[in-house]
Parts: sequence; C-alpha cells; structure tokens
Amino acid sequence: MRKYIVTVLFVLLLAGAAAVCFGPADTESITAENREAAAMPELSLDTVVSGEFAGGFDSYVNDNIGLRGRLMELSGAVKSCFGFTPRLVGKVISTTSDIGTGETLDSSLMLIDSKIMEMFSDKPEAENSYAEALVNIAETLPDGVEMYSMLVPTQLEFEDPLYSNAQDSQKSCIDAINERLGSKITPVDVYSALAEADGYLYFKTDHHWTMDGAYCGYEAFMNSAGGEAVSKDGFERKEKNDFYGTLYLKARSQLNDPEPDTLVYYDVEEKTDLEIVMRAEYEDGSALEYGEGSGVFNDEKDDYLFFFGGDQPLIEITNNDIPDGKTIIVIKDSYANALVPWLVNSYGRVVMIDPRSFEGSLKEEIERYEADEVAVVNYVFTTTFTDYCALLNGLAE
Amino acid sequence: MVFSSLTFLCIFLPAVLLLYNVSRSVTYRNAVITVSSLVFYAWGDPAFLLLLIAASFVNYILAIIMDRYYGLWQSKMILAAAVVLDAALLGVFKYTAFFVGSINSALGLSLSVPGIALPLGISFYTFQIISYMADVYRGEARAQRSYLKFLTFISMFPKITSGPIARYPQLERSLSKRQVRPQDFADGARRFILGLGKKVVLADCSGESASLLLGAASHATAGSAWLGMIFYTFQLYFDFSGYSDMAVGIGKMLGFSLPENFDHPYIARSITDFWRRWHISLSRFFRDYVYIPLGGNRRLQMRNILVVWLLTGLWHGASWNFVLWGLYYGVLLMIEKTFFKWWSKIPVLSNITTMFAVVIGWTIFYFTDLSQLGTFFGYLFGQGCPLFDLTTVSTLCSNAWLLAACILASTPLPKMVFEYVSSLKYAGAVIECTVLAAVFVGCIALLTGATSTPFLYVQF
Repeated sequence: MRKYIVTVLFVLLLAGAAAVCFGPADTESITAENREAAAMPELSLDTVVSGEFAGGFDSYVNDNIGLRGRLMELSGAVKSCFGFTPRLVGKVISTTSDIGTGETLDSSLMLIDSKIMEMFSDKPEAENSYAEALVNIAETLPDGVEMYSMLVPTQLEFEDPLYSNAQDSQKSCIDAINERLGSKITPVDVYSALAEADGYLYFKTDHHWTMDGAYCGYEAFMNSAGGEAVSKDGFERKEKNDFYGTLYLKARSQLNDPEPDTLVYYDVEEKTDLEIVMRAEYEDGSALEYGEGSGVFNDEKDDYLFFFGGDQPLIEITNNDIPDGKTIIVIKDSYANALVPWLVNSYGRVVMIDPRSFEGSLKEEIERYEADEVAVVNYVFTTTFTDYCALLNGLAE
Repeated sequence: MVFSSLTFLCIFLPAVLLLYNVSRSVTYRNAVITVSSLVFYAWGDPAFLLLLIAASFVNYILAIIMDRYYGLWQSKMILAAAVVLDAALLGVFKYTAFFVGSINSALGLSLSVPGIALPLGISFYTFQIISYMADVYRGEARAQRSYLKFLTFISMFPKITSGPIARYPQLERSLSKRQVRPQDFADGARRFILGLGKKVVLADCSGESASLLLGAASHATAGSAWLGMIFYTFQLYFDFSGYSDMAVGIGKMLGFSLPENFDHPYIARSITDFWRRWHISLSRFFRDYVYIPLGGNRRLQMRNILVVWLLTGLWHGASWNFVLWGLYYGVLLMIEKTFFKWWSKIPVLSNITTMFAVVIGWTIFYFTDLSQLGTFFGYLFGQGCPLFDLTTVSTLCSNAWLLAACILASTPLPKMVFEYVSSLKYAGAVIECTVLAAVFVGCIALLTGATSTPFLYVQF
C-alpha cells in the first residue's frame, strides 16, 4: 500500500511543480527587484547550437515561475533555520558583485540590524592600475585644466570597529591610491567629511550614498577646488517614496522584515534653471542625443535610479543661472549621480562621462566643452575591478 | 542540464516520466531514454553531442568486431586500439592544455596552450566505454548488437554527466527486458527526493558558507580556514552523493538498477575504509581494470597503489594539485597498510584521524594553485593570520544547525530513524509523506531565484 501512496505523492509533487511552472507568472516579485523578467528566448538553430537558447530558457523558467514571491519567502524562511544571529555579531553572507563592466568578483555583505553593507576587500594590483589610469589621464590634459580625484568610502567603514575591522581598510586603500597620483591630480578628502558628519548619509539597503552623504562630498570637493559650496538649507528637502535597494535583492533571503529606505532629495531644480542633454557616442564616430526634457531627477524611478534615471554614457548639464561659470567634466560611476545635483550649483556646466558606456574620446570632449576642470569620482569598490581600471585607462588614449 | 534546476524538475522529468509510461515496449522506452538523454546532454553545451555519439558508435562497432574474434589475438589488438582511442579522446580534451602548460613551465618554453573546452561528462562516459570494451574482451558480456541499446546505456541521462560509472554487465539484461514494479518506482521516487534534498539544502548551503570563508573576499583566519574546509568537505559529499542518489532513484523509476556510489564515507575508520565508501564505482573501476591487472596485492603492491592513485588524481582534474592529491592518498594508503592496520580497531580516535586526513585531502583538492595551497596550509595552522574574526563567528552561528545537520546526515542514523518511522503502519505513512513533500517543496523554493549551482563532479 505504501508504495502506491509514495508513488501518488511523487506524481502529485511533479504535477504540482509543472503546474506552478506553467501557471501565471508572479510579475510583482520581479518588479520588486527593479528589473524585467527574462523573456522566452528565440528558438533557432543558431541559438540552440550556441547554447543561448538553453541558458535563456532556464532564466525564463526561473523568472516566470508562478508563486515566485511566495517561494522566495519560503526560501528565506528555510535559510533562517540554519542557525542564529547573535545581536552583537551581525551576519556575514557571501555574494558576488559587479559594476556593469562584465567582471564579477566574490564579495561579502554584512547585515547589522536593518543595514546591508558591502565588505571591502582590497586588490592592490587593480588599485595600482586605477592610480596609473588617473595619472595617464592627467598627462593628456591640456595646460591649465585642473584634475581632481574623489574616492568615496562606504557605510561599513564608519561603523563600530567590531564590524568595520572585518573588512580591509578603505582608508588605507584610498590613501595608497592618493599617494600614487602625483602632483597633477588633487585628491579630495571626502573620507574625513563623511567621518565627521551625522545623519542619513547612506542608504540601508543600497550600496549608494544619499543626497545628504553626497553633500559631504560636494563640500569636500569645493574645499579642494577652492570654491564655496552652496548651503543645503537653501533647498527644499523632499521625500519621494520608500524603496528597497540593490543590496536588499542580494540579501533578502537572509532578512526578517527589513526596514525600507526613504528616497530623500533636495529639489535643486526648483531654484535653478538647468538644461540637460544626454549623448551616446559610438566607435564609428556617430552620436545620438536623447533625454530631451529630462531633469536631474527622474520621477518614474523609485530608487537610486531617480538621480538622472541611472548611468548614461554622457550627460551635459548646463546651469543657465551661471552663464560665465566654469565647466567641469566628471568621469564617474553611479556615486556621482547624487553628487552632481549639488555640483551644478557651483558650475556653469557639468559633463558626466561614464567610462562603462562612453565610447567617444575624452580629449575631444575636453576640447568641445573647453573644460576647466576634470574630476574622477568613484566609490572605493570600483578600484577593485580591473576592467573598470582598463576602461579608465582607455580614456587616456 | 542539471537535476537541481527548475527546468529539470518542473518540465524535463515530468515529461520524460509521462512519455516513458505511455507504452511498455522496451524499444519505445529505450528510444525515449536515448532521445531525452541526448537533449539533457546537449542542453547548454550542444557542441559535444556529436563527439558523444561518434565515440559511442566507433566503440560499438569495435566491440562487435572484437566479439567475433573472442579469444583470438585479434581481439586483444582491437581492445588495445579502443583503449588507446578512448584514452586519447580523454587526453586531448582534458589534458592537452595541462601537459603543454607543464612542458612550458618545466623547459621554459612558450608553446601556445590550446584553449580546448572540456566536454560534459567525458571522464565518466569514456571510462564507461573502456569498461564495456574490457568486459566484452574478457567475455563477461557479449557485444551489444543494437546501437540504440548501446547508446541508451552510454548516454542514459541519470548518469551521463556525473556517474555512477555503471558496468555494462550490470545493465545488459535491463536494456532488453525490464519492468518497473510499483515498489521500484516508489523506492526510486523516495531516493530521488532525498538526494535532491542533500544537494539543494545541505550541499548548496554548505557551499555558500565555504565560498564565503575560503573566498578572496574574506580575511584569512585559522578559524575561517578550518570552518571553510569543513563546510567544503560536507559540500563535496552531499553534492556528489545527492547526485548519485538522484541518479539511482531515476534509474529505478526507469527500471534500471544503477550501482551505489557512497556508503557513509565520513564514518570511515581508515583511509582504506574511506575509499571503500567514497565514489565506489570509480574505485572499483581502478581496482578491476588497473590494480588487479597490474598484479594487485600479490606483485609489487606499493607500485600498483601509486599508479592507481596517480591515475585517480589525474582523473579528477588536469592540474598538479589533483596529481598531488592522488599521490597523497597513495602514500597514506601505503603507510596505513604497512604500519597502521591495527589503528582502525580503535573507535572514535580512528574516525577522527581519518576525517582529519580527509579534510587535509580536500584542501589539496580545493586549491588548483599550489602557491595558494601552501599559503592556505599556513593559515590552517595559524601562520600569518589571527585565530578568528567576525566573519568566522558570524558564519559559524548563522549556520550552526546546518553544520549539525550535515554531521548527522553523514552517519547512518537519519536513514535508520526514517526507515523505522516509515515502518510504522499509519503514522509512518503520514510522516514519510510529510517529510518527502516538505523536502521537495523546500528544494523548489531554494532553487527559485537562486543562481544555478551545477554539480561539483560535472567538471571532472
């Protein structure tokens, strides 16, 4: 009798699995991850032979399985049974990180209370390449163009030493890179500014800083560049919505009832006449201008992508209120997206260039905009990605 | 395709079982197994499907010719040709880059290292083909005349990518005549689900902790080094034995009796005992086709042990650490057989020393870079690193029950308890069904949203 019961159970389980798989997709769980569900791949001889179809099909099944959100909650519940998390110790989990350059690194996250923080692991060789790339860029600049380097530390660096000591020192990495920059590049000490500041400087569930954290960076930058930062009080502080950031997606199965972040911003557009152009240049020399009518803030986005709608190859922001202001080119990763809304208050024009997608020539952009200054703004983890360093170096060619 | 994927569990397996049970004709069923096995094999890596079909076809023909000359000198020549051909196939795809790289390092040359991709499961199916040829040569089986049946034997999806290495005589009869009794199907289903649980819950989750502690992202500490290797030790066992359980389970549901591959190796009391319990089908292959023909225990035993373990190491991977790992076991076995045969009679202590040797063995196995291996051994014994850090403590706490479950599941105790509870008339049925359903649903949940975690032994 038992053999029939087990057989029926197994058949029901397989049938149930198939039914869930072919049932209506749980699109909400994908939307919560701020991405689109994988589409059914094209079935052709080429895609089958290359293995592209199989890979795409597996992703499609993974993303479109019914009850996906419920199953992931169950997965979290199962994993939470594996042990306990002492209050004072926090939890370290393994993950992978990438910054959109193709390279993926093993990394760790630290979960303390409701904060999820990346743990820094320095890569001296990549850091050397980073410093070399900046020096090479400085060598290509026309006389009179000042160059600055800002490396932004992350939240864990300023936590209790019990936690911050579990990672490699970000300060040591920043200092080591700054020492190699030579006389043509001025390092910006954003580290001290953030260490001294209080408040909601970093998101709890995202690896980025908030606009308040970015203001520390702005002040530090203006100190180094010899200008004066505009006061934060002159702008209305607004709260757009609550959201869960990118780190939440990696750690969600390990969290019980995490607190969301709040997207806080200072409405710089309200008081300043800004004009924005986005541009993509291609290797064949052609260019495409887009983003007409877009602003510093993208209301359609509910997370860090709110700032400029995310990373673009090139964004030119003209401050019509400072017609004779200086022009600065900011070579950057996504950390600059929250910084530049402050920077535009002190410059006539800010041009953001993202080495990950920019295919044009930095030299030509410097000439085109008659740039007065160049700043390289990245968060410190960027220095551990060798291919990002190679892309930076490519800008010097 | 891997067993622990939603595509396999939700689509492939239900479809195969459904199609398989449409007819009782063995030819139809063999055709279903072969076609589905080729799809399974080609999924994600179709380029080497032709290689599998060609290798099996050539050996199929050679075996028929060899069978015709059974007992004559020609059959020996054909066997030699087939073995050379199959070994060359493995050599070209698996070892070319390793040998060229080693020659470059040793002689300071700069020969270009060919970038040859490793065909999925090649180590398993070439060994299976070699064992088939040897068995036909020895007269332990007649050559299979039906290519469909032969291809079914070679490509059978439960075992094509990660074994067990099945001997042809064990399955010969089933290829022509088999029936799936309800008891077989139920046993297979039970075995499959528990194997899936081993892989998805115990192996993959232990693997996450191992990667965290042994990965470059963590600070080196002696505690993390040991804890990481212990998690890796469990990951390897539950990954491979879970796969083997699933393979045996699917085999039963299809009417085949695949050989057992594991027998609680982590309760072994000696290295000899450990290798009787770990990857049994590979050990038997080397025993029957290498060790005994070389003279076994009767002639030059130490040399035979070294040869077998050198080959075992190389079989696991084209890298010097695998050679070192094989020699490590060869030397340990020689020492054990010469001086410490009595040691295994001491309970607990012999278990501890055996596991210590096994963990050290897996450390050699883990690091393909020998300089990293050297540095890591330093960490294991506290050289140049602190005793522990927050990552060590956090990982230990947040995986404490998982670790306890792994230790317990490495012993026969859970199986005994499960069998006892299942034997209870009414409560047993409820408990058994609840456990099986919970494991299956839990695995589906853990696989949802997770990145693919292929079986570790697929790479061999």
